[in-house]
Amino acid sequence: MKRLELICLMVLLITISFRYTEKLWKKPLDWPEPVYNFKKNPLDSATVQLGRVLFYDPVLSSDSSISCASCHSPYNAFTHVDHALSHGIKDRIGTRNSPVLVNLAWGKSFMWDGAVNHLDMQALAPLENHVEMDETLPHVLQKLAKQEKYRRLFEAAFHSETMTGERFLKAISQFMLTLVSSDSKYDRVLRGENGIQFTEMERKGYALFKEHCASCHTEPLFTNQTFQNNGLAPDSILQDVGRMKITGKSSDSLKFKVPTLRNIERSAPYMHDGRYRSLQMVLFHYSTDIHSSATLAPQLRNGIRLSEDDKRNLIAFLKTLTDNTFLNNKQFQYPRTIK
Amino acid sequence: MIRTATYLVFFLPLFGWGQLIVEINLKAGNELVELNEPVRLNGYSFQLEQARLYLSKFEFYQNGHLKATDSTLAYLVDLEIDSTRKLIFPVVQGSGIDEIRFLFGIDSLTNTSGAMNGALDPMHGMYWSWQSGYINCKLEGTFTAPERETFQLHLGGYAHPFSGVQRILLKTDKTNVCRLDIDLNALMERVIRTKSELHVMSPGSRAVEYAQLLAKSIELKP
Ligand code: HEC
Ligand code: HEC
Repeated sequence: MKRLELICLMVLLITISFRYTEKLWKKPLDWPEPVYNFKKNPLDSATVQLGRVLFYDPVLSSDSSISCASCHSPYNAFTHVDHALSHGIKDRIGTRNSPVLVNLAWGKSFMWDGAVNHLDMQALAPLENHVEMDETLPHVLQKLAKQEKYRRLFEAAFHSETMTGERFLKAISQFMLTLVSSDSKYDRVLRGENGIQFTEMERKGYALFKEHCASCHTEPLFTNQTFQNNGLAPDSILQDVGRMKITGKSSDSLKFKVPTLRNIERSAPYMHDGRYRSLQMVLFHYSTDIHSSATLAPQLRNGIRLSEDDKRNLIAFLKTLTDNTFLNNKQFQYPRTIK
Repeated sequence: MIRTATYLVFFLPLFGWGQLIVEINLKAGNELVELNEPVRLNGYSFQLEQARLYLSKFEFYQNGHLKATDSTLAYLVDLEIDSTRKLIFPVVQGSGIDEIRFLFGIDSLTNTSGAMNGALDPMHGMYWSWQSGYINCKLEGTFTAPERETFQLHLGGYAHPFSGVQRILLKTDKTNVCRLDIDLNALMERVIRTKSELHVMSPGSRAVEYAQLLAKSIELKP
């Protein structure tokens, strides 16, 4: 009898915890399966909260001035506002523009050149980068262990105060995994929600998008996650070869990861080096300013022919990818209530 | 978990518990290498300040058949920490193990599986932060030939064509304690000769070549 009760209790607990994970993370309908292996790091609310607190805490940098959020602001889909190249500690300037952090659970590789192979390992890169946070993982863990708050948060998340690199990284991953953007006007139109429809301009823009852009910026993630050369003239000072830095192959020269376009309206400036301040400039690039080189994507060889009307329509469509539910989600913002 | 379970299923009922102890030594020919102690080599001399390396995925064979898989994924051997130089496997006495197989370094699957615990926790400083991947082996020190120079070899890389991990197969007789010797002579001679690549800090053909030189020197002695 006792045994049966125990089994019932277990089943109940499992169902509850399963439900809980469901609430913290849900695959939008008709989206592909995520790449991240949740079985190895099952989401739970205490760990997500720990990750969130870490994300916003400048204690992660050597002089306690810079947090992840310094370069990844929630109000801008987690990119660095107004900075072409992100600024790190002591105003040292990096060599690349910080990307948006959305839908990372589907990411196959991270960074503009795919240097990072797993979301868990991403936080190490800025942490130990001399121009970004200039810290070391063991030293950050030492600093955290001194704080009562973190001992409590680790205890809540892992039922142990022990702070290991693995736990630290998995907690930050958990928070980042919750950053799912799937409630833009575009999504609502496609779901047929409350009869919401595209305007005439947006509809035309969508058609142009599917014709000219979707081969790389593929729905629903708005990236096919490949590395492509989209015809940007190389910057003579930064001399960034992109993917080739990782693979050593000349066929990868000047290729960068195709970025998502979700929330693009809010994530200016654009491209890996932040060279364009507006979407108008981006479309000027695609229509008239393609730099030819050996690795240029074939579909861009002759530029994309776009009239002024086409450009306006395309921009109207791109703005339907702005997800206010995501941008205003209090769960993603600075954790004021966690002391 | 599953590995441990498999292990238990394999062994517990068949035999009793016993141990296989493997002691790891860095050698220069017949000489034992210790940190911060000069080693003579063909008229030159070198001295290690740091020596750390990963050994992983130990498997135990008998007549070419897999008998057991070690439940610990990887060991970080650090010359500075004596306890890490002795690996203790709960293999059974009289179980007839005649071959040990393992990896010198960390394989591609483990390299792409996200954050890990224990010896594989990235906080041990054996992980490249700017480009994902474990450092399979870190050797740092100086040599005099005849001027004093420093060398820093961080050998890693898991992706084709610069995969640095090495598969090691070693025959063993049925003793419980054996020594695993890694001879640095061939590598150090190569390093001192070339002198050009004294600071290998990223995956590449040089890192692979050095890892192969080390792997070839590994021997198991009773
Ligand atoms: C100094 C600014 C700065 C700080 C601080 C910073 N980042 Fe970044 N982040 C960047 C830049 C720039 C990139 C792109 C770098 C590249 O591609 O080389 C990036 C890339 C990323 C990516 C990859 C996104 C993708 O789609 O490829 C993730 C995830 C990320 N950062 C998370 C974090 C986390 C977590 C922290 C805190 C531990 C953090 N960042 C701290 C600037 C920063
Ligand atoms: C051949 C593949 C390809 C095609 C086709 C393509 N893009 Fe891109 N797009 C990329 C790549 C790669 C980048 C990043 C380039 C970089 O920063 O070096 C990019 C970047 C962008 C960015 C900047 C995103 C950011 O976060 O900085 C926008 C906006 C954009 N593309 C819009 C479009 C539009 C609109 C079209 C169609 C008119 C289009 N792209 C067609 C590959 C493509």
